[in-house]
Amino acid sequence: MSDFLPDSVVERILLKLPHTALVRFTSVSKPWNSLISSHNFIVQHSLSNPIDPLILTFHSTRSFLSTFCIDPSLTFTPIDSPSYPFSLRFLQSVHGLVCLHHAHNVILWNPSINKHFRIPAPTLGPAAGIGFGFDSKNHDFKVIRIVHSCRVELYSLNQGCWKDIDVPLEVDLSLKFSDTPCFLNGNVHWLVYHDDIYGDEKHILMFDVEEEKFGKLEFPAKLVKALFMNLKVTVIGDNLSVLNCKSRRDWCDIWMVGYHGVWNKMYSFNIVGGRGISNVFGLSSKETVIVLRQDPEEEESERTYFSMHSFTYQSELVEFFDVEGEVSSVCEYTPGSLFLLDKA
Amino acid sequence: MAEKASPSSNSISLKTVDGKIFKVSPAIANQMLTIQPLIKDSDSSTIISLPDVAAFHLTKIIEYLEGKPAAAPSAVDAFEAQFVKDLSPEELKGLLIAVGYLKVNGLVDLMANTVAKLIENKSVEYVRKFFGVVNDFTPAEEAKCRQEHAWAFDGVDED
Repeated sequence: MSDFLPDSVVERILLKLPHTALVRFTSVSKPWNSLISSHNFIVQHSLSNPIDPLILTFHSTRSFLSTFCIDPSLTFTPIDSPSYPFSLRFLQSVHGLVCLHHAHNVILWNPSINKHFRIPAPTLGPAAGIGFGFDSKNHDFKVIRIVHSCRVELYSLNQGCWKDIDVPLEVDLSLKFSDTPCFLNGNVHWLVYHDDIYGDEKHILMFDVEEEKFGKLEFPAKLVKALFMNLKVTVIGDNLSVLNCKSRRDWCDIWMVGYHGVWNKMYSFNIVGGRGISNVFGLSSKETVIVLRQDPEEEESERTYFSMHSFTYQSELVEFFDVEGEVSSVCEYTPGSLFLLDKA
Repeated sequence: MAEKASPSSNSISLKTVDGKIFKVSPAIANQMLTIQPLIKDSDSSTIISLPDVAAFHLTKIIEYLEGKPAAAPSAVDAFEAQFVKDLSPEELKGLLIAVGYLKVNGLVDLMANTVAKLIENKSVEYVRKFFGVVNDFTPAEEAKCRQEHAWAFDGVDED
């Protein structure tokens, strides 16, 4: 790797480099290429270089992507977006790798190195619930699908294949999933309810991606009667949170789980005007949520207008920021990751 | 600084490849992990030879170990920034070899960071020359690799 330095010193230097330089230096020589593209190096580099997250927003009406960075004063600044050759929705991003999906298609995309990996078609039918997470013991990304026929399959990026997972008792045909899971502390979390004769009991279904086992978390008692479509489970500033947004109204409650699994209603905020909150996305950084408000339609226009706002719970400030078109999907990701560099 | 080893105090004598002898305190010598085991067995008349270290580099290493502030991370940062400020790429290389050989506490990381900063916007050719790497790609293989990652070659410094 060098005619005068031990390999271990060269490796230490390379671990300090930003991802762009490393990708460029895969052309230095075969040993450099092998080191930089090795799974161990990718994991070490991608987990040890913290960079502030960016916000990706996908505009379904015109199929384009915008990227924002949030500076310390919490203004959203548009920056150059990576090319986005997909029409899929964001599911989740973990360690700089964005999982996109639509129907049977699941793609893992690393915007930092402009590389994507199409996961082989799953073996089972349509999914009721889908999740994405990182197994930090085996340094492995995993996609989990819970299908209507009450079977569960898991894809491991390291193993490169789907396999069946034992189905716990609580996963049955009547279980309905929220469309946006979140990943926190090694677990995928979905908001679920049983749509059957026994009523509409809601809870949070968890999947530990390392142990590959399901778990269950009780739901805020006061939200049990809330309309399922108005609820969202998300991560806000590293806290597992449930958002309750009244449709066609302009307020939203944020519930957070504290010690011993006790839920507390922490914040309520208003976004006055418009025709109600249409969607809310939590951000794990900056203690912020992004709120989409549906705005009054302009005359002679067939399009629906949305405006984007941020709510920061520590300062309880609501701020408006400008974004074009209808935003259908928002995702936060950490740039600088090398994951997928080793994939053909 | 260089002088003959004399059986006085309990200082350690280190001899560089260019024949100079440096006397350092055990506290300083002990931070060079490679010579640690030799210190235990040496008495005040022992001279430890350092085949990979020139006087210039050992002077810098001692300057670092003696001058580094004990506390306050901001003071350490300022000291380290000053320490590497005027090093040429060639001096950096030499120091990196010496520091890597002696395994000097803290300094390996500082050197790695400094070299990383130096090369992060450099071309592939610059890096090959700097590290003395032989390009073992065929022209076709290299062209393919570069084309695959063409975006990573934007905005590279002139050599």
